[in-house]
Amino acid sequence: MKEGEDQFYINKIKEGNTDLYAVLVDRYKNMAYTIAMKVLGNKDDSQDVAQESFIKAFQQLHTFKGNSKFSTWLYTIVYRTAISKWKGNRLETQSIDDSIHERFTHEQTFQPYNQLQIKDEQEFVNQAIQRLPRTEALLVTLFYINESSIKEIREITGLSLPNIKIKLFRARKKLERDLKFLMRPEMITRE
Amino acid sequence: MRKDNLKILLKKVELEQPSPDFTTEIMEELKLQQDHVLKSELKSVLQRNSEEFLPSNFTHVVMTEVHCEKIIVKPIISKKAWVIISGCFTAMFTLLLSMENRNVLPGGVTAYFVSLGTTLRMLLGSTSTLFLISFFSVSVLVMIDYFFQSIQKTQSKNNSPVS
Repeated sequence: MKEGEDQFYINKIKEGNTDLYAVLVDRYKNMAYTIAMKVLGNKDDSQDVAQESFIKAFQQLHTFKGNSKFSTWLYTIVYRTAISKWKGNRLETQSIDDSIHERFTHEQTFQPYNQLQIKDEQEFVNQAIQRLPRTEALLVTLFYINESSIKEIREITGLSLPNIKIKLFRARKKLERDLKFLMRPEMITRE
Repeated sequence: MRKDNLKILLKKVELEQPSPDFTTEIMEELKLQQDHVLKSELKSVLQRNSEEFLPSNFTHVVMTEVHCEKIIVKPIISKKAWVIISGCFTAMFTLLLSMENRNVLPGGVTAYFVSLGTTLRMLLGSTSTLFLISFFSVSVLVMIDYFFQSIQKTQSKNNSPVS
């Protein structure tokens, strides 16, 4: 249903009603930003990339034929722009916001769930994802949060289908281990 | 007594045996189901907690830039058109320079080009030599510039990372 709506807005924008582009920006800005964050790990750069991507998408809207979902096409632009930015930066820097980006090892023991507030839960999940390799973190975001199919992920990232499946499997196992106490108690396996 | 005898008799009956890997199949099926449930739980946890959010003025900033895009004025004569015009003039000048040798082209065609050359010489004869030379030089330079830009674009496309 969303695809049909997107195509309606795209057609109107192509006819000259450019104000309607704000609808598409509002709809997809958070996921675009999230994807950029997974690649770059830096809020400022990610915001710049998200902005640049939406501008590029607007400039190239006439080339969008509707063969794929608009979101898939847009996220491909976001991914490529983020990768270009990352290659341009090259230096590993520590974010000022270190409470989010502190590094932990997988052997780190975690606080029991009943001691975490909701905000802590969000931070904890983000930290668990950030501990993953860059590509796996991005795949987890696309597959679980955005609910993209494997084929759409292939279109966005350019990775092969087997590669995507292997990386997703590995990422899932790590996250299940790190986050199992956040899941319902009856789901935790007895070891 | 009869009941006891029946019980004893029934106990002697051997149970049906399933396939040898029956237990393995059941355990695998249970593992798959639990795997599926864990996957859903993980998805639920991730969806609740890990989307990033932009500041509220982001859309406004993007739309401001989008509206700026609309104002760009395109030239009436495009760059490609200028290159074609330069190419035609360059070809004409080169042809004029080679008009001396009438035996190069076949008879009918030669006569046509000679008359064209004569007309052009009459028109251009009134124009200053310096102007003609400058115009010719600029045409050649534009052609060379277009040629090198095309090569550069092709090279940058080939060098860009494969997605």
